[in-house]
Amino acid sequence: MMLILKELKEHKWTIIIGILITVLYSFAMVLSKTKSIVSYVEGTITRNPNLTFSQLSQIEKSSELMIDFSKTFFNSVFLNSFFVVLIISIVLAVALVSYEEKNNTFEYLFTRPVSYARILASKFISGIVAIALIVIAPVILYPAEMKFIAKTLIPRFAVSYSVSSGVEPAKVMAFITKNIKAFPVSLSALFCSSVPYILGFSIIFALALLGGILFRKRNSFLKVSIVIIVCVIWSIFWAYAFGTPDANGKFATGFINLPINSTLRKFGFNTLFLNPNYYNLNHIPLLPTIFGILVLTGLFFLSHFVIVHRDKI
Amino acid sequence: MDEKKKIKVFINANSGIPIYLQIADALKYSVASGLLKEGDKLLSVRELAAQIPANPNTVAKAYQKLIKEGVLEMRRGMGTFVKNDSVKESELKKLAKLLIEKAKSTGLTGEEIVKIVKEEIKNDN
Amino acid sequence: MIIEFTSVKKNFGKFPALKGVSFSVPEGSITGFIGRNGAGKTTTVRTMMGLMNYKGSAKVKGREVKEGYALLREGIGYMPETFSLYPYLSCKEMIEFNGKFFEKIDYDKIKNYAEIFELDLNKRIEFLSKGTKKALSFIIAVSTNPEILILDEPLSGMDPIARNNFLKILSEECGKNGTTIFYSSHILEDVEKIADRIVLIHKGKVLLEDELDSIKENYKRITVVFKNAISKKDIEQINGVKRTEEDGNGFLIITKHNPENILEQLNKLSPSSIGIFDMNLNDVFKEIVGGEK
Repeated sequence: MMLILKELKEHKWTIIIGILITVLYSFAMVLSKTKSIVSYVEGTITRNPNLTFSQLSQIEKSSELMIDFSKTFFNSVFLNSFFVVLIISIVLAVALVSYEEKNNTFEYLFTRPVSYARILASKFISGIVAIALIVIAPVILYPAEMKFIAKTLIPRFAVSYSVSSGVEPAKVMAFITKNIKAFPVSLSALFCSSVPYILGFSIIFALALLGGILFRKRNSFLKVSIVIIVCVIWSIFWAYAFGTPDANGKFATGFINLPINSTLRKFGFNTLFLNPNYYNLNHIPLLPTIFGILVLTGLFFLSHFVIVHRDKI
Repeated sequence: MDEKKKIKVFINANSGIPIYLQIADALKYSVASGLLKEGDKLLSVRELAAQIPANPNTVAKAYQKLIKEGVLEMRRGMGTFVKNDSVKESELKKLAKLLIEKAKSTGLTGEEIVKIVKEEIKNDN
Repeated sequence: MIIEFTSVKKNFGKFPALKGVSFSVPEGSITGFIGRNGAGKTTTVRTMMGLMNYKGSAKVKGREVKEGYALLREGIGYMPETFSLYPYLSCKEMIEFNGKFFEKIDYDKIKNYAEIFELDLNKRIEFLSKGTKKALSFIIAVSTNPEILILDEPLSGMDPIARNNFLKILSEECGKNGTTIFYSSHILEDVEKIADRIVLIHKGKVLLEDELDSIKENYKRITVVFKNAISKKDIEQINGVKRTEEDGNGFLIITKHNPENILEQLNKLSPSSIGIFDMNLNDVFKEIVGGEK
């Protein structure tokens, strides 16, 4: 529909900036994480120059040596760039409403022979598409990141190890690359992981859109600031109070330790699609996806109700 | 096909006189003064409305009035034409009526009015 | 009746903007919607377009506007009071974008009107002046050849030449296509030129709804001086007298219908002089609105 394209064109800079941030962020995070793993191994080998191949594989068995790029990538992109995508979803939702308010174009759209549902749907869908683009962009560039790392860091390590161990660099390279769990398997897992992530943030987008529709008349800059501050404070509070999960799904405790914590965490993180167990699967997790789609649909109908029963301008 | 006679009609929208009457009077004046002759074809309602500019319904009303009075006639499929151009007399009668009305409103009698008019005609010559 | 309002009420919080607005617009007419600033013109027009929730009945083409039937707006061309345009689009792009909502656009008409209003279609909307933006809003409204044109203060901000062109175009739209035109204005001179019906709104209520010609025929001013002593009451009793006031040694009478009959009745009372004068729309407006406090 051309309305969707119109929305995407209107807010293309927000989307582009979002994509740039997530891509650069993921690139930087994976780079630094990998670098630290590689320097750890280098350090171990430098201190023990007489390691045999079998001893090397034992070192590798320790968790830090598992150069599981997809998990690293997951941590950096999905968990660490959480705030970025959160803020962008909210900013985008508010922008979709305030831009029309500013130009009085709601008076234009609502007087065209199209249903209010279609106008609302175009905003919903363009928001979800924008979030999907922002989330998937680093995943698409994952092979490029891996290539870069493979080309620069690993050969350096292979060379320094071969110098100290006497094993040919080529053999070291082969051994390392065999044990690196990288794409293509993880790539599909990452795409599958993106789905609940996209859904989760689409829900936040839809909530912010509803808020924008309800509080249309208030000053937009103020609105955005208030919403962002509230969300940030809430997230920080949540993190410190109830604890956050690490990459393996174990929760570190926060300063509030109530029996209800574990239930709350389960509920909160499951519904907010932040359960790490949902990720790194090679299939799209069915239940949260269906739940997410239901919530989005519910929010759509609620927003439509609000539009119909209030003055359009 | 007859050529339409393009006369210009000017009205004052802001007067208290309904526009259709003004248009009718303007057309009658055109006929009385010879701008339009018997048998001349007038602009269509639409064209005249666009020229003034005025509401086409208003122009239609004016044409209807003049058709009723016998000044214009509508020929099916051909347009509106001037039927009878002997309107000079009726126009003068209308002017006279106006004069009498106005004069009476100041309290003059019929004889006084005639006297003043005769004097003015003398002065004019 | 292509538009029919029956006791439409609308409140903004506690403020009653429309207190029971009733009027009807016949198909093919040009209706001037007049009233002071803040009388409720824009609220009424927005209600007609489905932008406001309201109480009562507001029907366009027989359908209740409240129902929110989208296709009802297919045959309506709307020109809002405040600009409702995307600043980053060019005029051409905006017109094309608008066209996608409707079945057909009349490209010849667009070109023609753009020329008349001296509008450069390739210019971006954000760089247009107020008058040209008005012209563009109008072209957008009329580009789809709608059955009904609803225009809110279309002439404000237009220079005299543009206004004249605009009125010409409106009269053509009505004459050629039989388009029903409903336009609001607080400048009565513009309304008088082409409206055949008038709806007068004041403080949320319709105080007058009639054909303009009838209004000019019914509302007259009579000045009369009597030989004998006649009381104001005697005059006020006469059917059709709106108001009487003492005027020097005589009376000033405002008639609201049947002035010929009133003249007759007055003549029976032996006046020493009697004169009847026309009232234009401005005069009638002041008469009707001036009395309301």
